[in-house]
Amino acid sequence: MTDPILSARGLTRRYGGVAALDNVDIDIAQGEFLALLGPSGCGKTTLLRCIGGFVQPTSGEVLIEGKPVQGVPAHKRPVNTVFQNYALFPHMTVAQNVAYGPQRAGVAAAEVTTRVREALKMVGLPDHGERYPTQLSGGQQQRVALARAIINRPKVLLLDEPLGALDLKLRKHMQIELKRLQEQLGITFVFVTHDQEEALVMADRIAVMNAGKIEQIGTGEEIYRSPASLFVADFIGDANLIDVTVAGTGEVTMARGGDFLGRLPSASTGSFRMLARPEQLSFLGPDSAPPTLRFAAIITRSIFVGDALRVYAELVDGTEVAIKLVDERARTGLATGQQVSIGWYGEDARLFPVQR
Amino acid sequence: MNLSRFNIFCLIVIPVACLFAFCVAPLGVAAASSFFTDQGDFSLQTYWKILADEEYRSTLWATLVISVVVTAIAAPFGFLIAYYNVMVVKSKLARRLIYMAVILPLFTSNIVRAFGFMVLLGRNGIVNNTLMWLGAVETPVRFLYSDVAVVIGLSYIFVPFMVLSIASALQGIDRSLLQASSDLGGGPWTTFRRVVLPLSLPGVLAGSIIVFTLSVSAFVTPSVMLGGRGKVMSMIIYEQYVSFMNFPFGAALAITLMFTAFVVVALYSYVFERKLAWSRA
Repeated sequence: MTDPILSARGLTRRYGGVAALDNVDIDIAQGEFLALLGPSGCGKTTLLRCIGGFVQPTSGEVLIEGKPVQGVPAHKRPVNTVFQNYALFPHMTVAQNVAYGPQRAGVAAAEVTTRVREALKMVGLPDHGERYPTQLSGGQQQRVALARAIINRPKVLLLDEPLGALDLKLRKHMQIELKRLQEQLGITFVFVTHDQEEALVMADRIAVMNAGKIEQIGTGEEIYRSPASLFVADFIGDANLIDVTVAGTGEVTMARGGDFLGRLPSASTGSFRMLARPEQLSFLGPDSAPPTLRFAAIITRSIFVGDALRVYAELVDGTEVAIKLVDERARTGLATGQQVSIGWYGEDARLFPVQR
Repeated sequence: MNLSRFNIFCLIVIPVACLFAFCVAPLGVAAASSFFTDQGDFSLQTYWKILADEEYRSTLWATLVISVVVTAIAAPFGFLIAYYNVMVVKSKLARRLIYMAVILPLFTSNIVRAFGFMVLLGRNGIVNNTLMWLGAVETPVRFLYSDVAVVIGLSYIFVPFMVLSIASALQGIDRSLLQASSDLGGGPWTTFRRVVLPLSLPGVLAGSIIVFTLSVSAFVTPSVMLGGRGKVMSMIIYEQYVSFMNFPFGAALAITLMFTAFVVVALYSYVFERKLAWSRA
């Protein structure tokens, strides 16, 4: 990456003995849309607040355009934040809220008026300048918070779960709109979310965080297809995790029960947890091509989810796996309690070593 | 919900009866008595007397001025204490102790506290002795038995009401608003002036109205601090009722005081109104 606009080096923040951020390194490119994804308490918000200047790191540093910002107070950093609860000033009108940043920067009054109008137009609220925040819906407040931040043309815009309070339909709409706005403005976005789908929809790259560390950073596809850890595999997308043992000859057996599954000649040997996405599994009929791995199972239930049928089946060791069937024809003749064979095709299985 | 007629009757009648018994009736009786002579004839003579007599007008004016000054002094002091306690003090225990220190004086009688001030402010009191020792004054300053003494005494007594009122407003300010202000380039002073201060105004308004109305009707503290060398309205009213048994005139004085105080509060609220439009949005 040439000249990252934002970097963290060995960033650590401890609260008492607990590390909310544990030696985090990250580089974010100019114009990038980066999602910080992880469960609550993983440190993603702490990282955002360290960048914004609201939390002082215990050690390590944040660099903006290569310059350390340690000791620079929040109001002097070239970044802006869209807060989780929007934090709109209730005693100011929408226009006054949006004008707050440029006024602090000493922009001339006439220019402020023009920019406020542009910013409100950009977020689709051109006629709401005279209202008070309490007179707006949640989605509208969200847009005002966005306008109030982008009007300052920050080097980096930090967004702390900004869509969390919106209903599903509005959230999906705003995801697309945020992405469009980000591409239009060319501002670097750092977006905190616990919603993996949201991260996949919007982000150029996703940093998956867990227990104060970045587990993996990459495009959505990289993270989905080749998760670096069991945590990432489980957190992103739906994951079937099956305990297997690989012997010297690449012979794969169930870890419990020892049923023979197939051969993976390129795999290393030992005890593993294998990742099989629901769409990678299929039911085997009499005329199916021989799969790489074959599992015996009993169908436990099936759920119609609109664009597909999700069938759940129990393997011989009791593990329940999900199989996603998109093809209409493959859905017929599957009954609960039926004995089936499930096939996994492919060469390169994601195997995570485990202690047993 | 299904309410019987009897329940509805009770729900409406009981609050209205309480309101009438505790608020409307006593005031109504006083107001009515001010319009009648002892013989039972309707008359406005009591009010003419108040308007005509220079002494009553000047006492009314002095009472209002004292109350305004007390409010003007209590507001900044109250704000300072409230701001310090809510925004600066981090420890919960310390905050509670400060609240206790603020409220504790309210548990003692006004008379005790007024006499305490006499000890402090007297000719040989601590304040004068200190001033003379410092060489600030040659002879003791006469604090007592003046309007200044009343203002000092009342300000001290009423600051807690201001503190509690403003503290509750400050407590209600979402901390993320302060961060948002900082995030948008507002330094600490700007954040205070543009965010904290305007959002605390409802508390300042409420506190001011409480302190002003309490000051207007205060009796014990002015009596002690003036020591018979001056009067405020409450003392004249007391005199009419207790010494002269002139109920109609006492009532007229009380109604006049109430009405003027109401006008002052209404004007004050009206000026504030514009700044608080957001809170009703």
